[in-house]
Amino acid sequence: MTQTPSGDARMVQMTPYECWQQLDGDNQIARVVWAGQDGPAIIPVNYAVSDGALWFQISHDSELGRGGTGQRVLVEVDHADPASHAGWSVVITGTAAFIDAVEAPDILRDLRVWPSGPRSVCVRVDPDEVSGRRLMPRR
Amino acid sequence: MMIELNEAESWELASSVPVGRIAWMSGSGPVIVPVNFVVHERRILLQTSAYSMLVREADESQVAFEVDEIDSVTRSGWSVLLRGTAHVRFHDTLGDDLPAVETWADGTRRMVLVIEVSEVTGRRVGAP
Repeated sequence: MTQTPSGDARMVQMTPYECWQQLDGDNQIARVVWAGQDGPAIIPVNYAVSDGALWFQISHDSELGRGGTGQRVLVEVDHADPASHAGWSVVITGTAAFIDAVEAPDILRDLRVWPSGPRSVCVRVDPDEVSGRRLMPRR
Repeated sequence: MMIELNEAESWELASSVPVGRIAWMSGSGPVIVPVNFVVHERRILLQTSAYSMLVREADESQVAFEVDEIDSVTRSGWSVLLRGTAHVRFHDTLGDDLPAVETWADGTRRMVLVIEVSEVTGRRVGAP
């Protein structure tokens, strides 16, 4: 395990395999980040993993929805444990493609979507890059 | 069910958790990192080292900060999004009344990143 440039020996890089293992949990929340009109923008979403891609839904009239298909996004999933001061964070980099709802996988229809609404868009992010780091528990 | 939170509620919830996520624009696109933070006088404070990417890339730029607490089983919880400008300062120039950030990661952190917040939005979701 290699150290990050921060010099913190408790901070280790995760392998892509470890990253995907963490992304695969049930009903997890991710934060989607993109370059908004006035700096970076973030929204939390429920997501699902299917066919090596991440899927989630957004509202048509949200800032990301109005930006249209093909935007570069990050999808971040993390976990923090206050008791041990440990945690991990995984970031996927990719392009957000807006997909017709009928072409979305069943897993997205089964997802406990948050937020939900009648005017939602299905989004698929095909990863170009996966990275993660873990803060090990304090001894 | 989704309820918009007002500013006071959003700040109160944001103050209740130890970890948030800061996003900024780097030369190659947006970056997001989980960090420890404190809320002080409607500003977000983080402690960082002088050599961090955060100091090099986010100083005097627009940033976004997100905190949430969502129970994946009951689908209930809240999220707060804050946007504003980041300013990097030496810790000892900010006065004695500054609350300390309890930082989980090790290492020396002499710099404080202050987010002057210009926009706060929050929402609560839960089973009806």
